Amino acid sequence: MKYAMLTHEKPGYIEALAEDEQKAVVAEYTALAEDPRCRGGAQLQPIDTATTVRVPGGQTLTTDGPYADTKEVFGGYIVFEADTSTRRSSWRRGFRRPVSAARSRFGRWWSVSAA
Amino acid sequence: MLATLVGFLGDFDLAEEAAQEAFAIAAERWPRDGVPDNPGAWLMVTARNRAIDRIRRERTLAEKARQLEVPEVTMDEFDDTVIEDERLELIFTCCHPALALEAQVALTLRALGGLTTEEIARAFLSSEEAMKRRLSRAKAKIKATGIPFAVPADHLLPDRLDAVLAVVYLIYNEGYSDLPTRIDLAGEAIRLGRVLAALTPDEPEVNGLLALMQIHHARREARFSGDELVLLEDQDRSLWDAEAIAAGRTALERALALRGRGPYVLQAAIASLQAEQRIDWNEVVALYGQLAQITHSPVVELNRAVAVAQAGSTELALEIVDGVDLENYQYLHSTRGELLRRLGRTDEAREAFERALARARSARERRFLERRISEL
Repeated sequence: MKYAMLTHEKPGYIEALAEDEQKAVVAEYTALAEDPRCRGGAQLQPIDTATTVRVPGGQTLTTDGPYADTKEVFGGYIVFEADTSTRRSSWRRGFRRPVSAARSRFGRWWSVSAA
Repeated sequence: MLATLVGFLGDFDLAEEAAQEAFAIAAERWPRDGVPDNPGAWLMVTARNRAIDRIRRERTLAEKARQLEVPEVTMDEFDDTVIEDERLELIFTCCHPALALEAQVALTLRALGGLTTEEIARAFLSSEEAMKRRLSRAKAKIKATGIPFAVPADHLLPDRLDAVLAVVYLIYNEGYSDLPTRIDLAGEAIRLGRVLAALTPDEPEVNGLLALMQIHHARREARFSGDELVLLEDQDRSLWDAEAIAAGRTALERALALRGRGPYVLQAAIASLQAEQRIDWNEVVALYGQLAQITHSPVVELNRAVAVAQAGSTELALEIVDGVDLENYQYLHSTRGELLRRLGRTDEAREAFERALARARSARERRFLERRISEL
């Protein structure tokens, strides 16, 4: 019986480790590869090069946008530099307060509902 | 021009280089020999022939060899009227579903030449280095897997629409955010939006995007006085383009009639409300709530906070902002600064504006923030 072991490296994870920790990780991989029971290994390309299956209903991207509130009502311009780890955590934190239902003039068409 | 080159060559770098070579030759020859009758066609022919020469020299893949069977192009074949659609063709071509959505959008923004890598990085709330890496990987993937670049058949267009809309949206955003310098980009995006709406008139989000762009664009003359930013409440409404607002609202009505409920329709609805004499901020808050649910975007949440403040709940707005993790985002700090200022917490406001200032990207932005600080 053959088994496949899949390991996924979070991008940047290894680079962020201390040197001795990095060596330990490499040593682990090497030990695995050199184990006579291991028949082979292959490194997959980073996630960006993977083929994406399109999800019906569309996908949304987290990007900047022409939002008048921050840019015209309060004023200023958008500049943002963050790495992907902060981007992922930020949308969870963005939902601390539940979205409340409110009557909308577009009520005929919308069904505004609570989170 | 780049559109046709990329479609022809299947290789972005090669297309870009060929285009640059053609421009360089033109810069050298035209002053000497005079500008040709059809400069666009001349550039195209030159670029294409240079690229063919290079391919022949480099003797690359059999796929490229296939291209060489096409006879060298002559002047008569080009027609300026296709140019506008050509850019849309490029967008559709580059938004290939074999690439990740972000890669599709980033690559197209790069290929169109309207945005620099740094600008694309900012649009994606990312760093320039990360964006550079993303772009190289995408280009490498295209080469390695031989993804065919051609205008997709009609029945394949819907599959590409998400990415295409995102591209147009981000081009518009670059123009909107850097008015009046990049007003050309805003105009370009709207042109593309119109062509798209003509192509797919029954797509609600296409109409939503066009609506949102047109309504925001209507304020372009009023947003700046000389070189200084004019806030929405201070804008001279007689300078607003009433026709653009009307056109935008027509597109929005159409989108709503098509039962559109997506992010662009929502943003268009918000924009429409903000173009009223008296803005119904509670309405705006409700719509931002919907938008936040769909997108899970911290940027949306931040803007929702602004609307909440405008609706009268400054303390609540500050709570929302403090829950948003956008530390390196200039607008987070400028928003906090404004909220703190309104709450009379002057020292904290100053600190927040200073943080925004540290992240400001242009002199105009810095001047606006410096004025804010001096007014405290």
